[in-house]
Amino acid sequence: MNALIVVLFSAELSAQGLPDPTALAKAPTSSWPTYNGDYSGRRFSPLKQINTANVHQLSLAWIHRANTGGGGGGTRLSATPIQINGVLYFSAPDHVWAVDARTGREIWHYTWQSKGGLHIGNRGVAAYHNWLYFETPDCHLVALNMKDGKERWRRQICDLDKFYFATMSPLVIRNHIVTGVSGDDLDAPGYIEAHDPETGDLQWRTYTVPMKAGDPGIESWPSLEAAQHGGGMTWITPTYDPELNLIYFGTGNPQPVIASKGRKGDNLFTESILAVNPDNGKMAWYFQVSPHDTHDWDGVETPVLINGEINGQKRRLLAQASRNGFFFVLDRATGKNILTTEFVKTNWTSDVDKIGRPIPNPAKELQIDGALVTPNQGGGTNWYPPSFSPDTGLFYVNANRAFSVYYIFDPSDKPEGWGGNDRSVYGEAMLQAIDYKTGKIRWSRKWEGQGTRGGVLSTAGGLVFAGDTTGNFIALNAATGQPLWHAGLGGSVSNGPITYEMDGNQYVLVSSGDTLFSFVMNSPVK
Amino acid sequence: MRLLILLVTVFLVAFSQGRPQRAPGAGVGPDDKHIPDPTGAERGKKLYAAECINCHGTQARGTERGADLIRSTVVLKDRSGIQIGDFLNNNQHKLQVTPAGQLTREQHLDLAHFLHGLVLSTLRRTQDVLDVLTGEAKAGAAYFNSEGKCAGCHSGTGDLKGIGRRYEPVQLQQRFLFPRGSAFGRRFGGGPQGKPVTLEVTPAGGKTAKGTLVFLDDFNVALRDDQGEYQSWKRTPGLKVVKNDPLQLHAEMLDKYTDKNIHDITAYLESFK
Repeated sequence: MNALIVVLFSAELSAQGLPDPTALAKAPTSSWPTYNGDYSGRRFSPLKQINTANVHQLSLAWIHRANTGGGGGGTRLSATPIQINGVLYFSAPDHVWAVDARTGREIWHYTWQSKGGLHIGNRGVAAYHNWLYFETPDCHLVALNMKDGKERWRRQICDLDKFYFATMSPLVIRNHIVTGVSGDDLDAPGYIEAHDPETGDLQWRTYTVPMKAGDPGIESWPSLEAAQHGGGMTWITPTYDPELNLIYFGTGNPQPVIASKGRKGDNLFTESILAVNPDNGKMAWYFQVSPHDTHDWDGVETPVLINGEINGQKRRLLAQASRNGFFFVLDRATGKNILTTEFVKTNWTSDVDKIGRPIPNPAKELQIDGALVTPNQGGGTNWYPPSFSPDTGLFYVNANRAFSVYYIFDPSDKPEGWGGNDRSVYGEAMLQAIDYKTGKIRWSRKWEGQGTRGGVLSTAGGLVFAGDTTGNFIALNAATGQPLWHAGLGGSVSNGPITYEMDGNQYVLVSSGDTLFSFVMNSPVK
Repeated sequence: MRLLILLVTVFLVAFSQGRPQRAPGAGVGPDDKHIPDPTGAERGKKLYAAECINCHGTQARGTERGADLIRSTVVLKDRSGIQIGDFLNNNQHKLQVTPAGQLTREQHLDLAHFLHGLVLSTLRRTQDVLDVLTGEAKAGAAYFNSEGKCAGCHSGTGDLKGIGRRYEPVQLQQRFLFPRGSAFGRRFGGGPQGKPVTLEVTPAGGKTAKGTLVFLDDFNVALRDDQGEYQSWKRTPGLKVVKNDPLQLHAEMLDKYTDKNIHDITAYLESFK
């Protein structure tokens, strides 16, 4: 039986731990081998053992408290675990664990000796053959042996002295380990890279802002110096279309962040969705979701790939619920905009331009004495992953409608760094189910309280799994939003939930704070 | 020069008075980054004014004659003035007031304290609100008593008497927008949070319980009644829950204020001494 199970688990992987681009174009069942499960970013599982009729029987299988060596506590697991051959691999800043997916018992724990960097979160690990890859807050890409957590090599991927740090869960595409960088304390350029999985050597680097005279986008900056310090970090794992051979990722805020006098213009390619060839880093197209942003609304939220239908025509689409409160649907072959609509009510725009970009309202320009803006800096949503169900045609995202007063602190002609900031005053939180064809909210589940920070999972069992604001992990009817099951985790969901089938049972995993919870639909005892 | 003084003041205040809450640079950048000494930075400021300001500008952000030192790799990679000193001593810097090699090791260190202080003063949470008292109190009074709907619950001679004395203007601004706001609670150590939310809970065929909200979600509800007793219920189809938030109007008004309204009301509230 064990041999059979191993064979079944390996069916989605061409070799142990090596994601097969063809297989990863489809949603996994017996494993969860990448950050998003597959390459599409849909976080939709075809599993239906747990469904609307029986989800009320979902039971706790085990919990695992991530111990960082100080006795546990204090760690926030925002990583999406990957599960390969019955072992879960997940991370927190400076830490990686391997845990038995059947029991929740630790197999090994790797600790990185940090030299600094902001320890804001780590989104997870990537697998290739028998190796794991993760990024560290002090700017390294590290390769580990999957079987024992021993370090194979380390490569610096950013400059800690320039206040970069790293959080992204890398993405494996064939022989490329795609990595991103984080940080917006000082004014530095964003970029995305690919590394050789065997050696860690740099294969290519693509900047997200112009770095020399004549670079594309330079006309959207007042000077080359402004562009070279213009931000556009690459916080979140890309998605990938194997047929088009393009990766898709969003870019972060322009810098300086709030006070923008020194960077007049659209500030390309910050707060944009970029399509890039993973073999050479060349950009195929871009679409800017927030031209010249002044609110720290990183446009990095997962670009979800949808094979859908618009006006009766089959289309290869890309959808993003962006931090600025707008939902975008693009043609992912060309980047042409199909739909732009609010998924939470905003007050910062006057209109949408002819190419689908929201136009900032001049009356809501940031001021020394304060401008009341919604969304707040946290955004209509944030880094936490959404989900799309091809069964319902709905895009699910945990959303916030929050207000802040934004202030300019530095009114000089050349502000740098954080020459302004916001003060949050009020917020509401809800799970939104968005019809990708129209952008209309099909249903909305409002949570009590404010500040959701958890991801979403949808399944062929007709379910959506998400966290609310009061510490519940909830299964809802994907078509109606009706809650069908919940478990109090003692704290808010802190990552993106995953699901897989093992030993004939479907499991659902989620983390809250430093604890990973595994729920299972048990079979009758024989 | 006024902006230079402002930046240095922000930096020095951050060290001497514990404000803002997070020390400049805490948690970001390398663990071994240069932490400036305020006394050395003060000496470095004078040195900078004599040696550097003409080319690098009052804020060290560069001019047509000199580079931006806040974004300078030499400065960012410097520790204790060593890299800055090497750069100056190695004659890479053609337009020095004092010739290469003539500034002392101590002077390099003082310059480093000053420049690293400027770098840290650009980081998140190191600067603060400048001035929110730009509105017209008279216009604020008119709005307070009409479209703002404030006068329905509040008055300057009643519950708001003396509020302009008790709170800083920026606190007043955020507090009137939503008194239970998270920013107010975080930044100012809690303080009065406005009137609490109350609940009325009626079980099927049972007696209504009233009290202050303790917990409410889609599945459970809890309150504390007038006698201080804690009561909780599972939310079932037969359980009626009525939530009364006395601040609901504050939330609804957020969609209606213009920024001018906000500045005017702040000025009006500040006049309640």
